[in-house]
Amino acid sequence: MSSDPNKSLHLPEDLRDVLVSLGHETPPDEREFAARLHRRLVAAGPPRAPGWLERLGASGAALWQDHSADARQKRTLLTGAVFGALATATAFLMLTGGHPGRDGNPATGPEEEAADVDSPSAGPAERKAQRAVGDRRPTRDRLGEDIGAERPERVRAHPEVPETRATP
Amino acid sequence: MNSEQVEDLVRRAQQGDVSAFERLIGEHLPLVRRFARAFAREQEGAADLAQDALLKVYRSIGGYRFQSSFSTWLYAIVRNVYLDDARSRAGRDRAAERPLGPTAVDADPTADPEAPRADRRLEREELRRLVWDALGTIPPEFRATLVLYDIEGLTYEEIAAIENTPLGTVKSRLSRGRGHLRRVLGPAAPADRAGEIEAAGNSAAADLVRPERTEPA
Repeated sequence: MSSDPNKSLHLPEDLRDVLVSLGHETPPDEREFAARLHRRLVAAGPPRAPGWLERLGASGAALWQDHSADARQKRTLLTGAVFGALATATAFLMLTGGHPGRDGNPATGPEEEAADVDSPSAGPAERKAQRAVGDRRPTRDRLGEDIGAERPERVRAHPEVPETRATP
Repeated sequence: MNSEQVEDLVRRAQQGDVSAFERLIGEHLPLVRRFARAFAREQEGAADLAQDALLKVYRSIGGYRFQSSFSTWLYAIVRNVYLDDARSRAGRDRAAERPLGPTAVDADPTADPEAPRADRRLEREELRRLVWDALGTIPPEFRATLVLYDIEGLTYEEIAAIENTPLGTVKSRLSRGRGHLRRVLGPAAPADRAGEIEAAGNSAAADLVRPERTEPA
């Protein structure tokens, strides 16, 4: 049967009116009904509180309903994306050993780790400061000759060292 | 009754306060009883069924956790009791899908065109009885949806919450229930039947079996 669920079959107007009028009917013997119900309720005693098993079942049912509602509303994709991101982050952390670097960044490799162990206090800024004047790296020309070796070291002027003062 | 009052009454009912429970269900009693009427053969049976359902509600109220509105929770339990009862009776009397015989309408004592006004009321009563009987032959799931929507005037969303089904299922059940009702009320050739009944002077009954008018798109 291929009925469009979004289009309910219409009823003839008269039948619809009859149905609506049924909705306005007052059931008979209201007082008698209420009195009998009261007697049965009293006889039934207080409602018992649900036990842990029933509560667990209710929680499970609620969880299942939420899951079903999510599935109906196509939220599985979102959940998959969240799980995917979590799995990627976990794998990344496991691959990097889970140790963040000094600056909060993960360590880049074992060489750096070893260098850090040898000179623990020598950071990039400190290494630069340790370099002495004239401790220049060799600069080579096209023929492979060291240019820096041929050129005399230019001494910078210093007010407290008399040799470095420029003579007019 | 506002939500705080309902919450207070629910908590008292959970402690065993019968009067609080009676106040809580007071405004829902007519619906519960009419709903039962669609699942029972006669009025007395409907009263018994409604009592059983309300007793079940009372016994289960300790498990109400305010996750849905109280009326939704109440109607869901009531509906389940009615459906269970209908299923257990289904084996005993399987009267479903049987169109009402020609005598059901022709036997109407108000078929006389000269009928006075009092008889018109009787005619309406007879029609109502006919429709109640016809409702009783619809499969229970479709019947429950049809009663809640067409008779009680609940919305699709409310019914979906009560039945714990998607909106599409509610609409589908309603459509099937209506189709079933029309089949049960009318014979194979409704147009001929309508003419026949109208000729006998019963215009209201004739309208019931007349094929649906085409509605403008």
